[in-house]
Amino acid sequence: MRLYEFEGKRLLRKAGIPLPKSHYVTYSEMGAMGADPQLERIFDDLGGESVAVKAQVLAGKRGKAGGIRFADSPEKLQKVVEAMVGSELLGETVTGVLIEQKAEIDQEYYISLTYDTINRQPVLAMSKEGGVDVETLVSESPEKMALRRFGPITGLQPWVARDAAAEAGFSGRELRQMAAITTKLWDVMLMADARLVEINPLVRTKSGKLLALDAAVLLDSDARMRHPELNLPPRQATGRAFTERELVAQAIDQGDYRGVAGKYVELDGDIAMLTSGGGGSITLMDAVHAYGGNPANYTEYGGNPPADKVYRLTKVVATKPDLHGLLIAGGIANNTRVDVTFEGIARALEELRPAYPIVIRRAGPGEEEGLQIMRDLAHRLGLNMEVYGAELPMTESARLIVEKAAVYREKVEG
Amino acid sequence: MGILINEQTRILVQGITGREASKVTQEMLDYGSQVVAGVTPGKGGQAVHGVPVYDTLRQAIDAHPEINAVLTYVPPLAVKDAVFEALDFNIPFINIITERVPMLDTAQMHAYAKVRRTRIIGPTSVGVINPGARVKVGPIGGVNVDRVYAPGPVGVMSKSGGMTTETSWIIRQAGYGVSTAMGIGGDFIKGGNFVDLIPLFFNDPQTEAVVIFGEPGGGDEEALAEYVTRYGLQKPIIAFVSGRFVDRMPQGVQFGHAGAVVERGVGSPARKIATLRQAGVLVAEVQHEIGALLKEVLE
Repeated sequence: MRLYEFEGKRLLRKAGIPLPKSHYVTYSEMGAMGADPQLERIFDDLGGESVAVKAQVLAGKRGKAGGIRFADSPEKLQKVVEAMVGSELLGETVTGVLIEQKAEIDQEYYISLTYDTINRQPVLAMSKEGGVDVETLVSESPEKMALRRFGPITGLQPWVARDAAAEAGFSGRELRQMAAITTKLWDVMLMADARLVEINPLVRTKSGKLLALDAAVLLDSDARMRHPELNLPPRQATGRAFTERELVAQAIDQGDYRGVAGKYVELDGDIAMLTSGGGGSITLMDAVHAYGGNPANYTEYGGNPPADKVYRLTKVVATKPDLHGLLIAGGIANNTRVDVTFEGIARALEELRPAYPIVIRRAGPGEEEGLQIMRDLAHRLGLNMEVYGAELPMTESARLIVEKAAVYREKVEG
Repeated sequence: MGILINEQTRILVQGITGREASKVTQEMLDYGSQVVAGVTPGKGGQAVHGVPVYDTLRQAIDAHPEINAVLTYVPPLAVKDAVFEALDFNIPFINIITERVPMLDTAQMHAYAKVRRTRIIGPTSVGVINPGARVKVGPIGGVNVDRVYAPGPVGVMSKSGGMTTETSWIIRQAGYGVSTAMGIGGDFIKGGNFVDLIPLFFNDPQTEAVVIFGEPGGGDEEALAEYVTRYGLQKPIIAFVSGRFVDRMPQGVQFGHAGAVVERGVGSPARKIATLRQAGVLVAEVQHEIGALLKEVLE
């Protein structure tokens, strides 16, 4: 789960990392404010000279997209905030801005902590050359980035941070300061179960102070249960707003924890995918692409959901406009009942009676009964449907639906 | 032969009284696995399908000193504690089925397992099966195990649980069986990576070829490629890497498994495939082509 800058900075502040003074202003506050005297107070509180207004979006590189602007008077601040709040930036609606005391930057540094998935250890990265082009720096001058892996049980010992700072080229008081900030950053990793914390840039101001100017924090979703204190609202991660269909699908899993059937990502193809299992669904998406088809969505149901959940998911998947085919497929299930889930799918198809071709491939507990439900349905309603069990390799079903969809597309589009 | 588990494997199930664990215990017993004990703190003295339950691992080992494998089925936030308990009692093999274990916990378990010289498979594993020895640990294969799993010359490692069985089914349809098949889990950090396990398959006399099912995320496939480049491709490896379509998706969308998130350009399926090919691994374009590739290398 990605955090907004203001959320990440709250964690940094709690750990004692120095930050510029700031205020977070939300859309709802703005709506009530109109020409708001509060912004004047904020401007004065931040020193009354110059402030940065930073759009709170999850996407990176917002500065280049116009997401960071400056104001040197309360009137200008009002204008900038009004223009920014509620606007669209990098596919997201800006629902809040962080108004921050403008720092007089002398130098930009870089610190991050994340996990090295090959060595399976946390890793510290530190450089004297921070800023927007840090990725270029790593690929062109990797020696300028000091890296230190360390044991996850012992944690980041202060000497390791000093060692990295020395290699990165820091000395004197700044070396000690960098090491102190780094060990506090490790506290953030532990305090919030983060997978990544990054300060880029960490700046030295003209008056010689070190300040974290930005904060990128990625939390471990699997550890959310042990951090109720963080109290973070849910958010989308797609870089775009959820579609109507996606919202309807998400409601399927709410309040019912038996299996999962509410994961649905709308795409712009014409082959509807009603696929099961994480690995199987991804593999089938790839196969449809490989055979030249274009999926209309991504979904995966699994964990043995009740028939009603799959019924509702089918209604979402199979009713997208301009479909030319539907693939109902999955691997050989270990756990999910084929008869139960197919009963839900059949009920939805009975209501919808689609004219487009349908290919089914599925195996697992209750497969005989489940496949028979589908054969009976096809027969009764005269559907254009082919039903296969384990005898057909799973990814062959992708080839079949791509071929049939092409024929059907030809027919309807003349 | 086969790897990790064999006729001598004696299994203890942590969290055995849970609904899923109890069901899987029955499936393991039905297949022929020797499940000798279970632990659920506070439920000592009960029995699950005839398997005695203890409050602590110490009590279980005192009564069954032959225990040499632990299947971990406890809730996500209890996994680290359960695994540390098993590590402190020097259990040589731990298989974690639980999903959604925090990354820090897994990193700590891996670090401690290295000290204790224990092998961990998982988290998010679907289990391990050795059909020749007729032993399986975990839910792998479900209720109809014998349809898919027969003894044979192919080793299988898969990041996806469901696709472990589908991959083994493709192998079966091509006319072969498996030496050992396992789900290693799709988490970014896990106990058993491809690269940790491939030497075992290379050294196993039964195994003549290895099939791997990869997924986006992490550096696992790249590390395997580096390993075989350095130490040689001692037996043919056939790979399928899922998730190429993820490259076309809006960034940051989470698919399937926790591990299947492509972040910061690292671990993209296209790069994994290119790296594996360069190392001499045969990569299937579509999953079921594994069958034809296997025939090529085994005939």
